[in-house]
Amino acid sequence: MHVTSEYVAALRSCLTGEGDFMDLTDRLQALDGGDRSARIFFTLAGAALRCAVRRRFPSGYTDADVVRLVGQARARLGEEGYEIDPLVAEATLRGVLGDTAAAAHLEGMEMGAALFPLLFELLEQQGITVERMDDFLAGALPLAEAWLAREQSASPSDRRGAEPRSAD
Amino acid sequence: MPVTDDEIAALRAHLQGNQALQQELYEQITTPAAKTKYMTLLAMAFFEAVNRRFGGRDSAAEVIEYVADVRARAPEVSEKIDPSAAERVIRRALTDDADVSDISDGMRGRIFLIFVLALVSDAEYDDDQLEAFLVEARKAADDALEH
Repeated sequence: MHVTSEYVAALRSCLTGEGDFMDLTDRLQALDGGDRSARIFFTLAGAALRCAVRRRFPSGYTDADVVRLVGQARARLGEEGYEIDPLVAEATLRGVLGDTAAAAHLEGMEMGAALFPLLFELLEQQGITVERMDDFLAGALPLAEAWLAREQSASPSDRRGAEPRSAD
Repeated sequence: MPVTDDEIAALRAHLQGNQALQQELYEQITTPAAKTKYMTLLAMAFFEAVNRRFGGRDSAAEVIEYVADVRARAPEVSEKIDPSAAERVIRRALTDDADVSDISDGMRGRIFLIFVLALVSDAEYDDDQLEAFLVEARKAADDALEH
């Protein structure tokens, strides 16, 4: 499995609103199948989240940082009438940051629902808009490739859907 | 039966962060009726503190960020409370819209204890202001106990 430029384009479209995201994902599903394309897409999104967190907390993060960041993302979402479970969002964030035990009980759909609000919040906080998106996603790509390679080398019984693995 | 000075003393100790004294005084509240009365006082203090902090506004975003902030201050607090429940209990003090019917008494009690302390601590009351706060809580608890 590889993260092709089409996956990057799909995530870019999702994050910026430019392009036809639905059309892009339909094409990826047709090419790679639903499960496989979802796994690649969410792995790339997870890598992007991890890169964004590292930019936000360059000298490392604490549990308090995780709790506050989730609170900020949920507060913004709440104003738009959309809710995510705080404990799921915190576990998702910790999972993406390498604490696989924190996210072990989560389903892929739960993580997916929490992942994007967190990513949007971090991009907003860091001013990563359309102009800077390509550079940002280029930084996430190697990490996503590493996660997929690790997942492929693991035995099938070790695989748990689309969740990313630590790149440490 | 109205709130007693001893119950006020226990709450004062809690709000001043003197948990040893609060525990000592709370252990003297032994009967179920007295415990219920203390919980009523605690709940009224919580409602008073929430309304002072949020000024009667019902801002979901502010409440979410506040709960996250309090949880972020101490990991042991974070583990003891369900953040969604805490947000709803706080919003319930501000509006009738929040549904708290599924939240256990135990969880509600923990939320009252943790957040009344955080809210009063954040308000940085001097001694006179703390006494005035306790007077308001006591009045509200006496009213609630009468009805």
